[in-house]
Order: sequence, then structure tokens, then C-alpha cells
Amino acid sequence: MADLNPGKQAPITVKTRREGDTPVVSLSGELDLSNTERVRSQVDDALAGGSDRLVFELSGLEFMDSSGIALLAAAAQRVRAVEIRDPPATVRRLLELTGLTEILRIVS
Amino acid sequence: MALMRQLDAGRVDPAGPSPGRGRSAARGAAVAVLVTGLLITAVLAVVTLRGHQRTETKLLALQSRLIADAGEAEDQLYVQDHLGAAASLAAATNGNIATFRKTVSTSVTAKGPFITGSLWRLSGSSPQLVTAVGARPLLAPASARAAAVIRQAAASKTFVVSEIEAPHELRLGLAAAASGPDGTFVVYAEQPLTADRRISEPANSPVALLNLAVYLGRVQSSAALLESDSAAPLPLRGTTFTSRIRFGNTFLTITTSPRSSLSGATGVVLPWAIAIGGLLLTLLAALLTERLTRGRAGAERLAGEIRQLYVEQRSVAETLQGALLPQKLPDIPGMQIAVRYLPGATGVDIGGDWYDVVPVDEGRFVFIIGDVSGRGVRAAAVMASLQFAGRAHALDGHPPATILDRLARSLDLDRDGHFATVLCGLADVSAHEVLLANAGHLPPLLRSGGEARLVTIKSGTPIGMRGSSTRARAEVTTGAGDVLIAYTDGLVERRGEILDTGLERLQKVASRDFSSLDDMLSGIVTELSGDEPADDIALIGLQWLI
Repeated sequence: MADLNPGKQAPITVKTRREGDTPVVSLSGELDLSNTERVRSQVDDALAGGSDRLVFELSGLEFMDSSGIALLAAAAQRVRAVEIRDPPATVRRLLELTGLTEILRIVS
Repeated sequence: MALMRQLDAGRVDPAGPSPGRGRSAARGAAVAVLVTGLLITAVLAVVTLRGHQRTETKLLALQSRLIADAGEAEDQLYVQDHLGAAASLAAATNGNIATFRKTVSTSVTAKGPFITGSLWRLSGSSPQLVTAVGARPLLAPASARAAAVIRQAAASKTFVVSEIEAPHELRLGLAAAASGPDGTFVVYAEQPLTADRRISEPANSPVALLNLAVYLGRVQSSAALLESDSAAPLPLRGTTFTSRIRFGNTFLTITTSPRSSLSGATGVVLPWAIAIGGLLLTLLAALLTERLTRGRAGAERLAGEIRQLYVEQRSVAETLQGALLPQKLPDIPGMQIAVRYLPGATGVDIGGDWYDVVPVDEGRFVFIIGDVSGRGVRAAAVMASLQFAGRAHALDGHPPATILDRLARSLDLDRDGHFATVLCGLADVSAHEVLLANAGHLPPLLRSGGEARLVTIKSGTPIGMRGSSTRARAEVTTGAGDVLIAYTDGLVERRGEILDTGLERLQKVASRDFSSLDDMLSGIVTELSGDEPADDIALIGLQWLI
């Protein structure tokens, strides 16, 4: 939306699987304003089963902006616990500096 | 973005081509196509027509020669066979009447080819009629003309031909001579011609396709006309072919012209088909060209308008952003305050960065810097409401942590789709103290005694997220000349780089020597933002003068 070409999205791959009852959403690529809506709808699908936990697997995430933070934080408002697994240093630091570590559990 | 740069550099005419230009260009192109098409059509039609005419002429000549050759052989033989043979026999038999009658019995009949025949003896200079068979000749035997014809035949090496005319009747008089031991004998015969000189050829005749006119002699005069199958007026006009064949002591002139196309209907139709087809195709092409050119001009115009709209929208967005930010910073005694705001270069959407400075009472003021997530008008609306609410809470005299708590009540990420990182500070100018509270924002930078460092403060939970209930706080003590700088993440964030790298870069630049606070902010922005910041950058600098 921020780009002149609305069809141009940052590259991102979203994979969803389950560990028991807990949905695990794996993100690799870049998460920014251009593609958060698409990722959000897939997170919604993952949560449709009614789990109270959610895991984001971020080891393949190369970039995330504040829209990505909003996505993670919004998920944290909807379930009891959100776990961020293996975030790269850039993403981890961003989460720390924006105070997300207080509402998300980071596991490396 | 590339387009934006072009626009900014003024290389693109945002208005695009004018409608008038488009229309005249379309007309010009259509006319060019029309003229070219018509020229090609005309040339093709003429070339085809010429070709057809040449073919017609050749075919006509060919057919005419065939007819003439056939006629020559046929007529010569016919006359020689019958009249010549009869004359030779008469010469050999000394004009035996019975022999003569028997000889011409097959050729002189009521049905022709000769309707009357006579045998003449030439002794001395006066011809004598030996005998006559068949109908009465038009050439009276006792006439001087008859004597002249007989004498002429006797003197000629070949048969002689004369036209014998009477009212309502026309005959061809033919005379052949032969000499024997007893003198010279001449056989004279008359061949009837139709009075109107018209003949009809059977449809399967080789000449059925042609108009044919046969003249006796070399001249095509109506008097000399022997026969014609043409309904057309004579002499024949248009494409004609004339040939002459020897006929006794004279000639037959045969003139032909085609009744219809000799090479078939295609040859006639083709030039017209090419002309009409070419004309239609040309008109169609011209029409299409006009449409397409006009369509393209329209598309270009539309693109120009879109570009214009884009520029206007972008400008509206920036104007709105500018209007939401404080137009003038309050004058705080003992403080130097400066700000910078740089809109991000990404598209038309406005960002959600803001800053504010609110005097609380004598010697104290609140400053706020914040960043609403996302972009666009909704983000700007959230930013505006947070700014106004923050200002109101500050004026009510609340400390920074309380201001943030209250702001947190007005925004909900789930409901509003946005969250905000906000740093709020309450500065006491003369006490050189600053109380800070943070909601997810990057730590401010303090330059003290020529050295810049980040203020140690926890980030806290951003506004709009449910999290820990206690706000992250810190207290900073400043000295005269010290500078506190708060900023939004656009200043230090770079794609693919850990935030700490940007923060270190900021500290390094802020540690340099600057002549003034303005100079310092400009230096920082120039150094860190690059030519084209992707995200918005807001920056507020506070310097203690006392």
C-alpha cells in the first residue's frame, strides 16, 4: 500500500503446521506493510481451530517492520500465549526495543 | 517510487499530452494511412488493368491471325479449285460446253457458293460468252463492264475480284482465266452477299467471341464492306486488330474486336475488385488507425492525469501531515528546541510519526514523540487523536507515565488495527531534570560534554497492546549545553541491519562537533537518512542553555 504499485509485495513464505493442538506458523522472507494482510489471514486460519496458544517460527525471517510487530502483537491479544521461536538477531532486537518481549515469549 | 523521483525531478509532464494534440495526431495518422492505401490501390488496379488489356490485345491478335490465315487458305483454294479448274478444263477442251457445265455443276447451285457462272472465250480483244449456267448474272454479259472484267481476268495471273451492286442485291464477281492451244478462256461466277452485309456466325465458331468486319481492298470504308457479324457500328472501335490477306488480284481486310473479355471474366473483374477491395480496406485501416491513435492518446492522457492525481494526493498527504504537527514550537526560556520531520519516500500514504512540545507551567514542559504503526489516513487519524489527547493530558499536569497510561486507554490494536510507540518526557528547565516514560519507543540520546549516549530506559509495552501495567520509566539529569534527542525508528532503521547498528551510527554522528542545535539535527538527518528515507523520520532536539 505504501508502494506505488499495490500488487508488489515483499517476498514471504508462510507455512502452517500443528504441534499437538498448537498451530505453528513459519515465516521466511520479509514481513512488512505490503504483505502483512496476507500473513494475517493465514494466522487467522491457523487460529480458527480454537487453540489458546500460537507459535511463530521466525528463523527464516530476514526483515520485519512495525507492521510485523503489530501482527505479532495482535496475535498475542487473541490467545493466551504467543511464542516466538528462533528469531534472527535483527528481529529479536526490534522486539526488545519495542517492548514486545513483555507480551511475547521468545525462545531460541 | 521511480515515478515519484521522475516527477520530483520535473522530467515528466504531469499533465500529459493535451486532448487536442491527441485528436489531431489521430487524424494525421488516419489521413496518412488513407493516402498510402489509396495510392497502393490505384497503382495495383492500374497495373492489373494494363496487364488485362495487354492480354486481351495479344489474344485478339492471335485469334485474328488464325482467322485470317484460315480465311486466306480457304478462299484462295476455293476460288482456284472451282473457277481456276473450270477455266483450265475449258482451255484444254477448246471451250467444251458439256465439260464446263459438268465441272461447275457442284459449285454453281442455287445454294451457292456461286449462284451463276459463265464461260467466256477471248479471241482478239472482245470476249465472247460461250455459255452460262445458274441464275441471271448481275453483270450483264453484253455490258462493257463485263468485257472489261473478262479482259482484266485474262491479263491477270490470278483471279480478279469485283463488287457487283444492284438495287437490293450485292454480289462478288470472281473471274479466273486459263490459256490453251485454242485461246484464252475465262470463267466468271458471282457469289451472293447479304444485302445488309451482315452475317451471323454460329456460337461455336472461333470468331463467335469477336466482332468481325471484312472489307474488299485495303480501305475500311462502308462501300468496301463485304460482310460483318457485328451489331456494333462500323468501323470497329476500341481494341481492334486488322489483318490483310491476298484475295485474287486484291486484298481482304479483316478487322476484329473482342465482344467480351477473351481471357475470361476474371480479367475484367480483377482490376475493379482490387480497386473496390483496396478502397474498403484502406478506409477500414484509416478508421482503425484513427481509433487506435486516439485510444493511445486517451491512455496517455489518463496516465498523465493519474500522475497528476498522484502528485496532488502526495502533496495533500504531506500538507495534512504538516498541519497535524505543531506549526510553531513554544518558546521555553532557557531552552533551545528544534525539530525535523522528513516524510518517507514510499508512495502517497502518510506516516504516523509525530512530536509535540507542551509548556506545563513556569520552567516545566512536556515533550512527546510517537510513531503509529502502519501508514495511510487511518494511521494519521490515530496519530492525530493521540497527539491531541497527549497534549490535553500534559496540560492537566500529569506525569509522563500517567500520560502514557491514559493514551493507552484510547487505542486498541485489536479494535483499531494500529498501535503506537510513544516516548514522553517532563523536563524541568532550571532543575536540569527530565522524567521519562516509554511505551515501546526507541531510547532517546543524550549528548553531554561532547559525548553522546543512549539513555538507559526499558521499552515498555507500546500503546494499544495489553501488557504489563507498569510503565518503563527513567530520570535524566542534564547540564548546561547538554542536548537530549528523541527520534522515531525511521532515523536508525535500515533493512537487513540490526537496529543496534543504526543506534551506534546515531551516537557516533551525534558526538561530533556542531555549531548549533539546528546544525546538529541537520547533520544527523543528512548522515543517517540517506537520499531517500523509506520511512518517515521525526526528530526533536532539546538543548539546555542554562
